[in-house]
Amino acid sequence: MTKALTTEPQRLDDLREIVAEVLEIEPEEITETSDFAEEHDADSLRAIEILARIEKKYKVSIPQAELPNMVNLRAVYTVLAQYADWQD
Amino acid sequence: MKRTYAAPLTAVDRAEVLPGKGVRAEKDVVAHDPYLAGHYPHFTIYPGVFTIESVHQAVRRMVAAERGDWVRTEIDTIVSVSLSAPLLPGDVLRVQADRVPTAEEDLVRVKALCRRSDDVVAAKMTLVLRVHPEEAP
Amino acid sequence: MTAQLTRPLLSHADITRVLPHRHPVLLVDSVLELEPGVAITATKAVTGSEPCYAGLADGLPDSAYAYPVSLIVESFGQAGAVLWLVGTPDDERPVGTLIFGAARGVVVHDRAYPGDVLTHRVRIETITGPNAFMSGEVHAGDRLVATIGQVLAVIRETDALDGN
Repeated sequence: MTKALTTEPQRLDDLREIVAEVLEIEPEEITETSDFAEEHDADSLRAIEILARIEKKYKVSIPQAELPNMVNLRAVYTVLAQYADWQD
Repeated sequence: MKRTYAAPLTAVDRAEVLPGKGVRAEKDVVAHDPYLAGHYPHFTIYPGVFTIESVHQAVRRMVAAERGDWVRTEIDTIVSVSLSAPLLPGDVLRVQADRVPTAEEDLVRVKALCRRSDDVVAAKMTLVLRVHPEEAP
Repeated sequence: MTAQLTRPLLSHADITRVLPHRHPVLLVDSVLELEPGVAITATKAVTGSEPCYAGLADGLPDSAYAYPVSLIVESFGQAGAVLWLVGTPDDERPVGTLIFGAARGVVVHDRAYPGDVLTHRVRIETITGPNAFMSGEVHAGDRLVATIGQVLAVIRETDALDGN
């Protein structure tokens, strides 16, 4: 379990980088709970791009039905953890 | 009036240049414009690249107002474009392109927000255009 | 070599069976190479008789005849859509209308003119659901016309589009 504590912040940072690149903003602007659509001006295609980049990087398959759930960084992490079968 | 550059269609019907700031423009989406008969035969939809063309032509007008009719303004880079809602015949595309300062005088960077008449955002894009001042005949 | 001695891999007629676009906005002429799901090489000949050259004033410089960047991007996107759709079995192909969703990092390096044959080299980056991300280059002969960092082609239900 101590390992999980060190990997989660790292994974969140990696995800933050991906999201920042897609939304064309600085990573520091994205908090765990800042809303992509409301606070960072993301449209549905940007959400798809985030999903696609995550699928590619982590070699996982995430159903399109999860898109409405991926509203902020924490939510993206939760969805990814489920499909990547992360135990932490 | 005859056009002075190749373009798939007249992608701006009305424009208002906001000196130093940007340009606002409108395009009435109509089914009988060039190229639209094939996009698609069963169902007309304004092609996404024509929305890029609308912004391009709006910026051309802005640059022409600032630097004269004989400069040539061409797309250099499509930094990003996202087309989030369809434009159908009867819609009016409303472009608001805001100028972003650049280091080089002949590069014009704009961030454009495109809305339909019902205010739904149809597209967002960031373009860099290059101005060729030497093209006067 | 003036005439085409061998039939292309996919002819214009073949392409009409894959893409919904029709004249005059079907902007892929032929497919030369195809590795389904991976990459495609497709051509588009630019001619002075295309609608984009209608109504130009007399006495214009060469640059006035530069093929519109919007049509170069459309043509590239259509080549990519052929790659995507040909590589997808019929029963897995999403139903609906093919549309251009997004692009990023499209850099224009040179103009293309009537007489040029554009060659699109498109690669699939990733496909997720009814959305395909692609990248590649556009050449005219050995001149690099554009590099395409990313285009996103999507298929959406026609009813959803029509109902605004």
